[in-house]
This record gives sequence, structure tokens and C-alpha cells, in this order.
Amino acid sequence: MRGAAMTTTVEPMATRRLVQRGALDWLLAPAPARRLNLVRTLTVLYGLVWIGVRADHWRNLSRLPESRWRQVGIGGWLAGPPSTAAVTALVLATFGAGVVALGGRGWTVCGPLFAVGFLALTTFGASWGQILHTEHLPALHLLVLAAAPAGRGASATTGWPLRVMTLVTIGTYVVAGLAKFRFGGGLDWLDGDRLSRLVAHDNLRKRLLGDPFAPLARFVVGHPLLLRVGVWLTVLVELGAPLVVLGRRWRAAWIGSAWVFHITVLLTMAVLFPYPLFGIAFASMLPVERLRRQRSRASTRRP
Amino acid sequence: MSGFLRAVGVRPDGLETVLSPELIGGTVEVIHAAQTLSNALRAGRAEEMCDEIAGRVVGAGLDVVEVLVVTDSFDIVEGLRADHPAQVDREEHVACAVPP
Repeated sequence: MRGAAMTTTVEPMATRRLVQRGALDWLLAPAPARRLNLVRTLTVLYGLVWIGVRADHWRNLSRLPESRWRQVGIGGWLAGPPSTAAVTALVLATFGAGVVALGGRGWTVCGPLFAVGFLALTTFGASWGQILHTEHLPALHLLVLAAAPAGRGASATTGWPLRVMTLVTIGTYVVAGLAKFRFGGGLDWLDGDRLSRLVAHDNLRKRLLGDPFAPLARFVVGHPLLLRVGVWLTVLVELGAPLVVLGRRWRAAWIGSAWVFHITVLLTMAVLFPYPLFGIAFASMLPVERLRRQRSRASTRRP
Repeated sequence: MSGFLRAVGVRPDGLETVLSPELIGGTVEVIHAAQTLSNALRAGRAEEMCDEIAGRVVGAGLDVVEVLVVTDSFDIVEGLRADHPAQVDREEHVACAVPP
């Protein structure tokens, strides 16, 4: 009897220890430094392009009446919105830090400066009544990379930032999946009716304001079954994101599904998520360094 | 059926014209424009918002004499599929003249 009692108490502990060790092994497994360097380059490059694209928008926001300012996230201590000059200075300083970081110099200084500047700019943008969800993941990824070492060889120090980036990516999809149940009517979300109304409402609003709307929107709102299937697939993709830790095949299947999901969102709602669509959101999960090697092999083969 | 809070311009001949997100919210973002109107209405600042939009209409040089902030109700599925979506109902929140 005593033996049986001991078995029941020891087994869960041993299992927990195994799981913890497995998780730690996964987190700290070495990765090639080239992978981390390439992921850093891609993420910083994306951040630079994003700043270039959004700079005018942020400057326009800074000219709006102060009554429209609703501070979110960091910077709650600010009494009011920063001036246009301050926003312009922040854009230029962040962009400059990013360019230097992209060149591979002074990462320990420029990396954190760029990450914090990107976070500050996107937080400022989100403080005027609209939150762009597509900005969250690159902002978080840049913060993880800012804490990562430059890395010279394959080691645990080059592995953990990539794994943490992957965990952050998984987290954003799971949170998005849970939010649909939390704010989309619980399990009623699964019947597809709410998604149908959401797609119709979002596209009609764009149309009424003279904005381009999604090319497939008119088609899908007339096909409830299609939307019901779409809801289930969306739930599978978003809540299934943790599957990427199970291995190469699961990872490849999930990344492919997530990419198709974003393409579908673009075609049915005209909502663009460039970070995952260009694949940069998934770069930390992939052996991206092989792309560079294949490219260099291909260029040496050319006469 | 779904309501859309929006601002429309009225031309001298009485016809209505669509105001872009930039004229409504001050940026090119559609959702930002809609959220801006919604926030203003909820905060009891609809008139202030209307005047702000009218100021931007002047700056854009549009042939518009009045701005209306309204909630137009549509059958959203039919509205999306129609070539010219027509509202089923309208609630006018505030109207303001565009300065000459």
C-alpha cells in the first residue's frame, strides 16, 4: 500500500521534472549563429521598412487635437501627446539606430535603441483610437533580439533568442484565438454567422468610406458553409500554434497553414499582416541560414 | 442589419458625397476614422468633431457646404453585394456648416 502511494506521488513529480527538463533543453538547444544573425537582419530590415512606411502617418497623428489622445501601453506617464518635432526626431533616431544595427555594428547599443524606439513609435500610433495588431509581434521580436548576444558560433546563447521569439509568436496566435471566443460570443463563434457579419460589416464600412475592399468578400458572405469551415480552420491555426514545438513536420504544416490563413484574411477582409505574409514572423522557426547558402551556391554555379 | 457611424458631405445641390477617412479621422486609416467618430460621439464631442472635419474639408478644397455625422443602417450582406448600397435607416447626430 505504501509503495503504491509512493508511486502515485513520485510519478507526477518525475513527469513534471522530465517535462521541465525537456522544455529547458528545447529552449537552450544550440542554433547556428548564422541563423540568429539572419533572423536579426530580416527583423530589423522589416522594422526599418515599417518605420519608413508609417512615418508620415505618425507625424499626421501628432497634429491631431489633443482631445483624441488615448495613451496605451508604455508612456502612460506622458501628460499629453508628443509634438510633431519630437515624433520626427524619434523616427529619425530609431531609423538611424536600425540602419547602424543592420550593418552589424554596435548591436549592444543600437539593437536595444532600435527595439525601444520601434516600441515607442508603434505605441504612440496605437494611442489615437486604433490599435494595429500587426505591429505587436515585430515589436516583441525586436525586444527579444535586443536582449540577445551578437553570437559567433552555434551555442545555447544563439539558440534561446530564436526559441523565445518562437514562443512569442505562438503566444500571439493563441491569444488571438482565445480572444475570438472571449469577444466573439463564446462557442457561438464556431457557427460562422458572426464571422459572416464581421466580414460583411468590415468590407461595407471600407466601401462606404471609399476605401478598397476585399475581392472575395462578396463571394464568401453568400456562402455560410464556407465561412463555417473558415472559422474552424482559423481556430485550428491559432490555437494549434503550440504544435510548432513538436518537430519539423508539425512546424512546416503549421507555418504553411498560418500563411494561407493570412492570405485568406487579405482576400476576404482586405486586412494585411505583412510580417507573417513575408514570412519574417516565422523566420525564427526555420533554418533560414540554408537559404543564404543555397543562394551563394546558385550564384557560384552561374557562369 | 448593422449601423455605420460616418460623416458625409453635402454639396450645394443637396447631393451627398463620401468623405474619405483622411477627412474624417485625419489619417488614411479607415478603422481609425470610424473609431474617432465613435469615441467623439461617446464623449459628447460630436459637434467639436464635426467642426474639425469641416475644417479639413475646407483645406481639401471640396465643393461641400455642410458636414453631417450620421449613423446609417444597412442590410450588410445586401449592401455589400449591391452596386450602390442604400441605407435602410438614418440617425443624424450633428450637422455643421463648412466655412466659406
